[in-house]
Amino acid sequence: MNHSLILNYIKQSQMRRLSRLEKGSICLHRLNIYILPSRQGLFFALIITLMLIGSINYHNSLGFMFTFLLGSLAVIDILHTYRNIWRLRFSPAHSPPVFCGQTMTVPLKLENYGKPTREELCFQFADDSEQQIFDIEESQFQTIQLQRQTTKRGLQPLGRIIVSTTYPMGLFRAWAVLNFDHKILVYPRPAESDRLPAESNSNHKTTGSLGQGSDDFVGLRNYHPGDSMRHIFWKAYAKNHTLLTKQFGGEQQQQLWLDWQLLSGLDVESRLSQLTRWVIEAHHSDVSYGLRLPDTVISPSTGDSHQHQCLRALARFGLND
Amino acid sequence: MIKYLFQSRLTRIPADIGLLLFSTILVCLPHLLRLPIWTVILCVSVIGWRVLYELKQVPLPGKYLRLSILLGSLAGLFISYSTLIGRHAGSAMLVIMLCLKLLELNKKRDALVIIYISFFIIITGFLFDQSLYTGAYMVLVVWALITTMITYNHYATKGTSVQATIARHFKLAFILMAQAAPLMLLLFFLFPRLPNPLWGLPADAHGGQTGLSDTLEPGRISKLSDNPEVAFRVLFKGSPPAQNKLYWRGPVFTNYDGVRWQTDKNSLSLTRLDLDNQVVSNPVNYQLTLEPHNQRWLFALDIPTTVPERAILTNELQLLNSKPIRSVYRYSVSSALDYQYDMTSVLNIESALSLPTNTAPKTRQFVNKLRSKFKNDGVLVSAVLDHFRQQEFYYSRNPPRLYADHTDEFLFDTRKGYCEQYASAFAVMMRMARIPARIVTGYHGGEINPFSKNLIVRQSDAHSWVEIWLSKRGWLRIDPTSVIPDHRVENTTDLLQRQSREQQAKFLLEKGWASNSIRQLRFALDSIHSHWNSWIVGYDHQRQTNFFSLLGFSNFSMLHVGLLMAASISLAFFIIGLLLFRQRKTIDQPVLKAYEKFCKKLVRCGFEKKPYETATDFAQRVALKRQDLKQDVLHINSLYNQLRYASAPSRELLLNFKTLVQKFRPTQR
Repeated sequence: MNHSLILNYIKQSQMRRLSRLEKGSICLHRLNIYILPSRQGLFFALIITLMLIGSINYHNSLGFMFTFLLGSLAVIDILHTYRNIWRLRFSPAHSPPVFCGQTMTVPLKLENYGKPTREELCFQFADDSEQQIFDIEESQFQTIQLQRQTTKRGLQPLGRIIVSTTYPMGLFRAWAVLNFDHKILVYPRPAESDRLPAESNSNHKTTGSLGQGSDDFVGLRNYHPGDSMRHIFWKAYAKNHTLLTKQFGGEQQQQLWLDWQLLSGLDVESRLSQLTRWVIEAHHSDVSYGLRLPDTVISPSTGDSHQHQCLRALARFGLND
Repeated sequence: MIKYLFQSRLTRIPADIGLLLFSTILVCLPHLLRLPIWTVILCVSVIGWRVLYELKQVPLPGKYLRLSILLGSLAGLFISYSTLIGRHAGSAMLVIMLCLKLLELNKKRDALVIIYISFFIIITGFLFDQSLYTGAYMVLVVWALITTMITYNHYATKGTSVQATIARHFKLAFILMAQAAPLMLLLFFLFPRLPNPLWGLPADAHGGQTGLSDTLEPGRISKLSDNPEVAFRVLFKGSPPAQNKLYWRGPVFTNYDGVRWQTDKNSLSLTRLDLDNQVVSNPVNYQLTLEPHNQRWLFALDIPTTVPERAILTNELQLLNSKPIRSVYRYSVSSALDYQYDMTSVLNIESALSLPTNTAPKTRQFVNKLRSKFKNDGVLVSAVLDHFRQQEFYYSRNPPRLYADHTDEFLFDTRKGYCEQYASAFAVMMRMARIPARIVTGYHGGEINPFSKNLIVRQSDAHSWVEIWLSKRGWLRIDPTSVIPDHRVENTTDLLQRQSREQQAKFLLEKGWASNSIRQLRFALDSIHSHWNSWIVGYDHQRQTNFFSLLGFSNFSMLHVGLLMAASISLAFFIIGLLLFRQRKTIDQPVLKAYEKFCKKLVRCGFEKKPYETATDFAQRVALKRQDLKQDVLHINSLYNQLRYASAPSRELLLNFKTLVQKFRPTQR
């Protein structure tokens, strides 16, 4: 009775610890580092046991000496393995969003307060079998780039990262679970079709002199963050280091509405994929485009931040996080 | 700088395989010297194959070829040893398995299997040889193996140079072993030793131990003659007896069938009382440390007046241990060098007189002639010895082989022999003259080690002599070779044995400083060997009990030993842990601590530092809202930045920073 109660308690407290999200950074210390023999270590123990039995039976002194040397090495290995991940502080940094299905690079900031170099640190996302192995060289602050497969759109939790090491002899594995309160943004997977909706072009075009396209230069204005790099007037920057943005078309510019309603035959995810593709295409062809979703409307504009705003709206559509 | 590799990439760089091959060769080397020649050829060619594969991409054998090589070599082993059990066949099998495994080395797991087999090969090697040199060599082998283990556990070798990585691993393995050494020694001395094996051992478990034989065939060539291995070491209480009195008695041979002398298997055990009735005087006390020779006999001078524990004294005055000596064995004994031993009551005189009737007809003729001339036994003995002295008899270690009746051939034909031939011929002649005689083998002499004051007796000091029984005088030692004049002695060792210590010293001095310093070095080494043998190789149940009583635990149980072992090992583990987990003293920790305090003070005024905010951003945010704190906050911030990011911040700056934080007392609004 008592026994199962205690076991239950341990299980629950472990679950609590595992599911608790850490804001900011996590430092590895004796409360969150676990260490157990690896499979190789268990095999090593078996071999030592056989050797010990042999030495006892044959009264072989050097046999004893050798067996005890190997045993002591294993014991010392515990300390070295533990020390290899002890007193490391991790914190995730902002990772640039990617489209679903792509590999995201997650920068993990690392502060070293213990052993100067760390060998063979293995990082693994709990839901991914791929192990990423790093040697950390002598420096107190550094950033490592973890690769994360993305499978779902939206503002996703980063997920548990298991950091482990078997260095130096591989007989023991020390590990810790990093569960950050950190979200990563994943855009929807873009659809294959790359044709922009033609009807939307005529339907939502405002009246103006049709003879002037978007290539029509109107004037210059001061640079605002988010303006497309392609519209920067680099000559002026070269002359006197002021950033100016070239303006085209003005009121007369074509306006493209990417509308949820245009894709009425498809299911939600396909619609989002298609819209994502359109946003990418529209951004590349430098037309002023707007996005119309059932719950959001983003008025037409251009530029990187506009694209991000649209993709972000698409990513988070229908998800309340 | 950081580099990474994914686990799927398991192919190893050639340098790693080179290291593994190097360790493997080191492991196999001592065994190859003992294995049958075909095994050596097989192993060398398999290792060579692997090397060729690495260098020239010569294809490796397929699965079926490997399997057939394995089965073939198992059959070969069975033919060579007629068994697959036991240390010879077992170690040969392990070595072959190790070499064959080199041909299918694809994954990390294969390398580990090789390393683990290597561990077994090392430990089987200790069944053959436990010398200091073997121990030292194996330390090197283990070093290489641990380095290989670390290298194979380490994927991220990309980027830095391979040599540097492997050198780093060698260094790390050395550190690991140095840290493991104290734990190992504690375990070695404290782990409880059992007095008996857990179960029966294979028949060949204790071979490879040299020593005297339990048969004596004068026709065959002695195997021991030039072996410099130590037979035993003696430490005398008081000054050692004269060199010519050091006859270390071993097995006694009474039964003779015309070709071969054998020990009497039915010899009786003497009691204390029997000994007390004999005339003995001035016993010498000494402690003898015997190397294992896998026989029951113990060595002692002339008549032992005390009998070591678990041993008996036979009616032939031979000390027999209850079990064969299989590990270094130390015992104390005292002996009488002047004695009259005349025990007819327990002596079977007939067996000391028996001879096959048709042995050595020419000798019989010769003896009969002498007997008719000298009726007195004593005079007859000196007449025989005079014969050896006056005729052209040589004392040689390489005598011609004897084919026909060896007594006749030796006495009348070759006249050249070593101690056993003289002893045998002399004993046969005595028996023909109806004087009871027997052969005693053992060691004669020995040299004093000036470092340890031990007397070292080597296998090359092996000797045999004769004991005859004369009425009223009892058993008397006669060494027939001692009458051969020096100029007819061929071997210097034998010559030296016959001389007193002063003569020996003079003789050696003439040999020049070079050989003398080599001798000194040999003595120094020997005293190390002696300690190695008594403390490491010979550390058994008995020695452990002595060791514990030395520590003050006279009455201990297994539980006590276990507790002592656990406690001392935990302590050692704790100390090594403390050394490893010492915190680096950096300036950062006090800086961070003080900064934390500063932030806490600001929290009380409603400013919380956001995780994404840099220190400067935060300070500016506070400064903007609270003009009254602006100066302090910005000052503290600039000091903080200097302390954290300047290349070498001074201690004064830290003190300054700490006092500023201390004095910083923001008022709440």
